[in-house]
Amino acid sequence: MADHVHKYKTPMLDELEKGPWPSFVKEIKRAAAKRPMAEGLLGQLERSYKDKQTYWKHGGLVGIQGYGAGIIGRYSALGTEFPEVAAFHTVRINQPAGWFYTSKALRTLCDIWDKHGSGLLNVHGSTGDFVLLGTTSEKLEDCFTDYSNAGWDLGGSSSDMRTPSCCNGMARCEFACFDTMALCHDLTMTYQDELHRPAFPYKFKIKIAGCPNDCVASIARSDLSIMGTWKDEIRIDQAECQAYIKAGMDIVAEITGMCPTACMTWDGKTMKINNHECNRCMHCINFMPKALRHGKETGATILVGGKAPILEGAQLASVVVPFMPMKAPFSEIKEFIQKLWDVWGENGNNRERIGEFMLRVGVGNFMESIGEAPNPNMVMHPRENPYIFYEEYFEEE
Amino acid sequence: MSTLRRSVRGHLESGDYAPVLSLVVADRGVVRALVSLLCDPDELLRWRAVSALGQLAGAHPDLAQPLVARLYWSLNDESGGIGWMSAPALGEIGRFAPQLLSKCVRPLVRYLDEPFLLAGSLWAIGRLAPAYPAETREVVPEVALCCASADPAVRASAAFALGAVGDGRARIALTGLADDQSPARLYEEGQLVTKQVREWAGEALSRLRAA
Repeated sequence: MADHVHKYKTPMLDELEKGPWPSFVKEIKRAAAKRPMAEGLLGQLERSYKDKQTYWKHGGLVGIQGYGAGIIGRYSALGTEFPEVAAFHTVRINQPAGWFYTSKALRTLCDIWDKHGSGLLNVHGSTGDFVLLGTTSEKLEDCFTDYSNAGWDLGGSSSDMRTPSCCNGMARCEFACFDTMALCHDLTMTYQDELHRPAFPYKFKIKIAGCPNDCVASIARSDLSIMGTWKDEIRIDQAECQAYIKAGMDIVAEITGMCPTACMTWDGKTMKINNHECNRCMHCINFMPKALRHGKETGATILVGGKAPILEGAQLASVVVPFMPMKAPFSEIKEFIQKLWDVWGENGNNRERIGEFMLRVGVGNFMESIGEAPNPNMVMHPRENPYIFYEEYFEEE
Repeated sequence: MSTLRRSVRGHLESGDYAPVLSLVVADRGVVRALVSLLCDPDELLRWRAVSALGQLAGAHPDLAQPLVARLYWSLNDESGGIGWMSAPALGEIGRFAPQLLSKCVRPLVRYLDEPFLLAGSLWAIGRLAPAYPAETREVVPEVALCCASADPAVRASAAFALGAVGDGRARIALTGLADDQSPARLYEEGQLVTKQVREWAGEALSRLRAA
């Protein structure tokens, strides 16, 4: 590999190979020794760095018959100069819940991609999919057939339900309040049509976090964030609190004094928590996992409307259902999802995310339309403008 | 698959659109189900979803109106969508509810250089011809060029469109297909019909007005 002579000179990219860190340039060069597409990618990327602009363009639609999504057509604006990447389509493969693979499965994924594509991967894309970078229109159907025969399927793209993703929850984490992977798998299988056949005003992302730590950043990255929580009291093991003291922890300085709602006290012997004031920041549980555990009555908080900036600015999701049980067959959350899709699907504008739709119609109207009761906890602070009148005032008159 | 989608799918399988139009009055989710069925693995059902959307537009233009922008967008989706059947759906909506599409023919011609959308765009132009005679006549030269495509389905679709427009300027291009024995399948009257390209061209020629 080392004596492979690259077709294109890449002095700027070469800089990115220096230093102790992993380098994507190094990896693309390794691939380029076997795959001309990767070679072309190096050439075009160097040119982009030099000219400070991208040369990828959306030049046409590509896809698999019977699917409306899953392949993203990408073309080079410099196809003549870098013919190896004239067409460089992306294929999204639906990842397993929690991103657990056997080494055999990974080999299968890579072998098929070596056969039909550039050999380059993005593991994983921000949607959660196993992303394959770089193939041509002619190879798509055969590529898909091979993946399908090996038991894999395409992920979501476009105005569909994007591939749901979740943290690895109960498989590896003691904070998980429900089985995130079971829910993720169930939703993926239940909504195959919505995943593969775009019929919404715009994309709809579901991300599932097992606890309020929200390691998958569902609150910021998904239209529907399902975040584990508990209803009852944080479980306290007072003996383990003492063990932390003996190990050198200053509980007042490091734990109770850091509580954002000041709902904890430590008198040197006993930990007390006013659970009604707890806002699930998770600081105490994260730092004293042996002494503090989430409650026993677990489920999830449902938040709606998170998104990154495209048409409107970035939005964090808003709490719509403070607590929902989260056990198979997950009927309650499915009923909720259906209500969201019915209201937004029928009334959302083209390319309007559900969070933008909520802003347009108003959170009150949105809540009413999906049949959920407003909750005082949704109000950030009392109104500042005395000239706003509520409907009730008019009704009283 | 949702119960509603299954029900709509069942009606399309039997080619019965009336229950779909009744169903949509009670449940507007039918519209979303039809859009989803535009990407169904079954080719005939995809086309029948096109027909159903056209009829829905005729009966309930208010329900079809929001779809127009969405379908146009899907023809140029940069985020990984492919509106395989969006052009035919637009064609059918415009045929039954011309008021919903204005200046719609010229934008469709843009997709004649998209291999994945070409045949469907031609079919749509053919379906739009009765509702937009002047606009479709304007694009006859571009459509006629498609008679030289390497793909028999594209040649047949171009012939269908040219016949529907009925402009005599298409005569030379259609005559050029007189010996084309390649089989090509087009959607016609609720069925997928396979004929030789020369037969599609012959039918189109018979519909041309005198130049």
